[in-house]
Amino acid sequence: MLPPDSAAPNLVSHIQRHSTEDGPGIRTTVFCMGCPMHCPWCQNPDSMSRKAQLIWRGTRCVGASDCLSVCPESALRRTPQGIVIDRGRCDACGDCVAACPAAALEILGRKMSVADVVQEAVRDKVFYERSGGGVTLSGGDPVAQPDFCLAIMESLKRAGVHLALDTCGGVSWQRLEPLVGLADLVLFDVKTADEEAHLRYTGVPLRLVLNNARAIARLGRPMWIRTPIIPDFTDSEESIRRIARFIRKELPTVERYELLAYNNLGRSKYERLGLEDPLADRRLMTSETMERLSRSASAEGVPSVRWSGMTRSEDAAEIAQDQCQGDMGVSV
Amino acid sequence: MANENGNKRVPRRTTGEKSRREFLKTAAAAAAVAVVPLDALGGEGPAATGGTASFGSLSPRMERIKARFLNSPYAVDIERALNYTRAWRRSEGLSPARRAAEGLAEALAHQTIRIEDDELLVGVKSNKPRGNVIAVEKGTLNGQVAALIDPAVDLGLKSAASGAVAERTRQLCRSIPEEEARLWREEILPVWEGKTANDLKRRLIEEAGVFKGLPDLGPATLAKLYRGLGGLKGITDTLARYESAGIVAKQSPAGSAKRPSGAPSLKGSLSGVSKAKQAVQDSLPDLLYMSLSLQGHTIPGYKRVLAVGFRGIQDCADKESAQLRSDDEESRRKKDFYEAVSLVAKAVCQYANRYAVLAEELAAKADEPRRSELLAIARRCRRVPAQPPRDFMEAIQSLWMTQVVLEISYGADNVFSPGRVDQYLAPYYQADLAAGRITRGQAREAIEELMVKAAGEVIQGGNVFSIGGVGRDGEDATNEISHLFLEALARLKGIGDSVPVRISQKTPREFLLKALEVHRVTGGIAFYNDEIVIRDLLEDGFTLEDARDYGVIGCVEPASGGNCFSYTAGNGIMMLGALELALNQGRRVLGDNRLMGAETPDPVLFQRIDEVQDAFEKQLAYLVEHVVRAAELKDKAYAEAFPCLLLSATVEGCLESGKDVTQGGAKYNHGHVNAQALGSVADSLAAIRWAVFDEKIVTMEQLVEAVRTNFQGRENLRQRLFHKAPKYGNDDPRADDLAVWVAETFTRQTRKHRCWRGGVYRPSLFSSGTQHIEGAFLGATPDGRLATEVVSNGVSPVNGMERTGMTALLHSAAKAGRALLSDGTALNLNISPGLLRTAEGVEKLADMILAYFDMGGRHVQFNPLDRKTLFDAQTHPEKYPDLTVKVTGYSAIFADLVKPLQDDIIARTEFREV
Repeated sequence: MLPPDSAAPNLVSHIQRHSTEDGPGIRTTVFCMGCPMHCPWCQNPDSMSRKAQLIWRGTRCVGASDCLSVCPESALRRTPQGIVIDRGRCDACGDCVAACPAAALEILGRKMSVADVVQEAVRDKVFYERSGGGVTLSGGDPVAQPDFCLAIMESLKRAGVHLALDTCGGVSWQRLEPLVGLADLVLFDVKTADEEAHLRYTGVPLRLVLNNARAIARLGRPMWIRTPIIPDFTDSEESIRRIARFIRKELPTVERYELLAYNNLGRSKYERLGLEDPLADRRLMTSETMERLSRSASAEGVPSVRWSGMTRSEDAAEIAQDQCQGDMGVSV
Repeated sequence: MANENGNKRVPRRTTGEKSRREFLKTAAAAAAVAVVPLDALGGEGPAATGGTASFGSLSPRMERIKARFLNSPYAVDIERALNYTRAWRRSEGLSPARRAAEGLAEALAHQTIRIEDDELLVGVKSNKPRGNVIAVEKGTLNGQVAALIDPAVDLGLKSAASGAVAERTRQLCRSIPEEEARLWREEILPVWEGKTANDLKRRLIEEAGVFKGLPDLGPATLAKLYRGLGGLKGITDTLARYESAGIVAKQSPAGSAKRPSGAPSLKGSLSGVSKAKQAVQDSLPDLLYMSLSLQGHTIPGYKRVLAVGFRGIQDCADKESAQLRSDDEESRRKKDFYEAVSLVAKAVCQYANRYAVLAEELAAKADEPRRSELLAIARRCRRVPAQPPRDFMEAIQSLWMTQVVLEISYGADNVFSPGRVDQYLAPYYQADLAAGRITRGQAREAIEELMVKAAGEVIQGGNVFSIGGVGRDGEDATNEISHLFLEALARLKGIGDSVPVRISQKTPREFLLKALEVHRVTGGIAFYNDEIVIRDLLEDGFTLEDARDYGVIGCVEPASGGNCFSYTAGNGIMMLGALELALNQGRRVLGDNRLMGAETPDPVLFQRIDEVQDAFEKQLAYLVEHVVRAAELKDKAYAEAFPCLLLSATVEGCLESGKDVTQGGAKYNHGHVNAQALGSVADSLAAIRWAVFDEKIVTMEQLVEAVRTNFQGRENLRQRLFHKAPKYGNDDPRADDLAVWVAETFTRQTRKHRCWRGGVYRPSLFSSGTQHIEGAFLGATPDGRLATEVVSNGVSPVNGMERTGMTALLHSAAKAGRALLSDGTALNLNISPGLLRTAEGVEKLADMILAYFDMGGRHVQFNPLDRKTLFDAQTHPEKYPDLTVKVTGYSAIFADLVKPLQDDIIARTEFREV
């Protein structure tokens, strides 16, 4: 599970301005590193661990080779397939990143102080005020760096910024409670209602997650429950119905239930990290299935069910898009 | 709808708990339809909008009218040129005003008129459905026509000369039968050689020595230009072939510098190819600063026409003329003006009457219900625009017929924007509605018909219909007609039209949301911030009421309507060119070694960034000063010999003062200077500061050398500058402060000049589809841009450099746009259709615009198209006959754009939901 928050540096994977899918209004989302779960469908594999990681973008590389000569650990190798990173040696010092003329190398996981994050996160305040938006702490999962996140939230709270906490709830209540206490809204994941599957896929018992959800509701915090709909993992109708029933019966503060269709935008991230995408051969959901699941959840009496994400007809186009964006340097 | 929503105002959301709860309640209500489908990109899916407006589709009648428009080929009209020329030869010895009036009267008396099936709104400029009227006396398009009719000129050169894509050029050629070609060759063009407004302007400019030398238009340069204009392959070979065959003389730079183009010595010696080249040259007398020979780009006085009609105008002119008894020169001049105005006003009334007669003839042969429709058309054309309209249909007919006669008067290279149509039309609509004379649907269909017809005019998208905003009293003036224009645009699904939407703090939120919902169906809308634009116009000297009454002209240029002759486009400088001059002691990288700008120090000696800035400012000041001098002389040429009587008849101030608009008769007069490439210039300066003075990666000498040699052997340096230097558009002060400085410097250098007609020179930063042309003439730049590559458009960042998301970009653009760029700025954004899928998405984008306006943003417009669609439209244009995009300032059908412009649009960063 999760190591205790230690003296390890505060690491932010990236800060996403103009977030439109992480809570109400126009938001800035702070993606923190580290997560108590290890779901095979993770969209942000770069922030699963609390370790900064070097990535290489082949589409940008111009073959300057400056990276090879500056690496103090000799962790980089040039192959016909491009630059290969020896992850056993690389300690993400960033020397190669500075040397690369084309910005083809990048460190995921910036060391940032609380002040750095807050400064960046308040820049779009004019947009939050107009739209009823604010800042969302996400990741990874903010619970992986609780002290860091708590300090960020306290500071933003003082600045009058609406705060959403995006969490999988996979830690002890003791650890979660202080963060929930500062949040105006909790975006809370319930991945599946199947206890055995939950433990197997996420590494965390379902009971812990549900108890945390109940505790958040008891505190009176508004919640959006979110279920990632992953083909063959979490797309069973029975599971959705059970989660919906749980929401109706036990979570009176839930304002919305969101079904998030699996998208394959994480695929290129796995590649860049030198990891195997466990869902590499997975197809997208169909919009029919998403609608059917939404109807099932509604039928259980959950008032505001909505779904979003990619569906199958858009598959090819979206992959092309992803590659284009990689080239353009837009983070997905 | 406006009635229901009239009381709701754009709320400023707070982060307070109460408003949050309300917001969440609204969001929940919007999600009452539990499922949000993702595939419904068409936008008509009921669930997608969460219960918001569905725009419906066109009636079969309108479908036919739209199809007829889209299927009509582009054409060149000969009648107007022929008739005008005939009158001109007859009127030798008379005053310029008299001759212009006789010419127009002759044209209006003989121009073929048509009434098509299904039409309720009538008025055509030409006997050819999409005919471009050539104002042959101005001469701006004579070279193009000469190239089109010359069999010795191949399609590539013809396209280059006419600036159109090959397909459109082919249509233009086909529209000129051999007999017409002969008339052009023998009866029309030779009469005007050396005598047009264009010729007079060139003579004045050359005599004054404004230009240090015409640019080298040798084959290599031309090939570059043609490539830039049309994306034409093999053009260099074609030119080489002409050259070896002796069709094109090999030009030495010195020779071309001395060549007095348009002067008599050239007469008869020009081959078709040279004429095609001259057509290009006429448009670009110098590459770094240019003053095209057009005026126009204004909002005519539709208000006056609606109020008193052309008969009222004629009466007024006659009365004024009768009162002038003394025989001094001033009185004679005024009398001459009034008599000429009277003549054209009368000609307009008679022209409209011809439609009434035609409609009656057609009615006699028609069955019901068409018979009744034709008789109604006849009644309307007998009434307007001669007299004030009595109902909505007469008002819209008056508006359209006025537009038609103005286009015939002024020719195809002009833009008359209708201005605040919702304000003109609303009183008639309300009265008719109350009296039960019209239904909402009928009014909307009339507007649809107006929009299709306007899209067929001149520059596509130039005839923009301004809607919304505050009224003269400062209160919200959005009305039912404003809504009908949005609905009409959505139902037409785009035909190249532009609709500027004015947004103030008092605009009903529903109106803004509706404008964004239209984006689910088509592009073409632009948003303007009333607070900033009105501030600008007050600085320009407009009264508060007139400033509030602004409309948008052409691309993005705001000006008060019907009282102002501040034609807003045609004078421009290449701003990135000024930077190139600053880094080369006043010389161009791709040109010869002549001094083209000011003398500034050797850049190698620059020790600090402000020395680079100083040199840039000197070059910029030089270019602005020269384009202003050229523009003043152009305006003198018009004032001397080419009055614009019909426009003067409508514009407030002219009848009052007895002076033509070209002579400063309007209530307001200004000049303008346009530039683009704010992003490229700011990024280049930021790259110099970062690489040379801050990080010290290179010396100034190395950087200048690398730029001069197009980064040959310095690819790593280029990559570093391109990827790692600070970039405008990311809310990064290291680049944004320079963008602000560039915008302010350009503003200062432009506004210091005064126009002889009155008023200041107003600066603007927008592109008119010219970003690839400026790029084609410039060497590499320190931001890592390679030689001849496109420059950034308007105030948008360099394509792909806005990496921090839309909010960051809007921060940057708002900062830079704060300068007093009163002639307009254009910020173009591509957005994924996904952002608008849900009602919530629309709300968020609305708030995005409002927050941008809170920060002082002036203008923003969106292309709601994903890259896949654009790629597909480029490959299969036939599948997208009406795909409308925002090119830069203006809108156009995507398929009509030259490939470099299509590529530029596709390369813009697409903002998507994350």
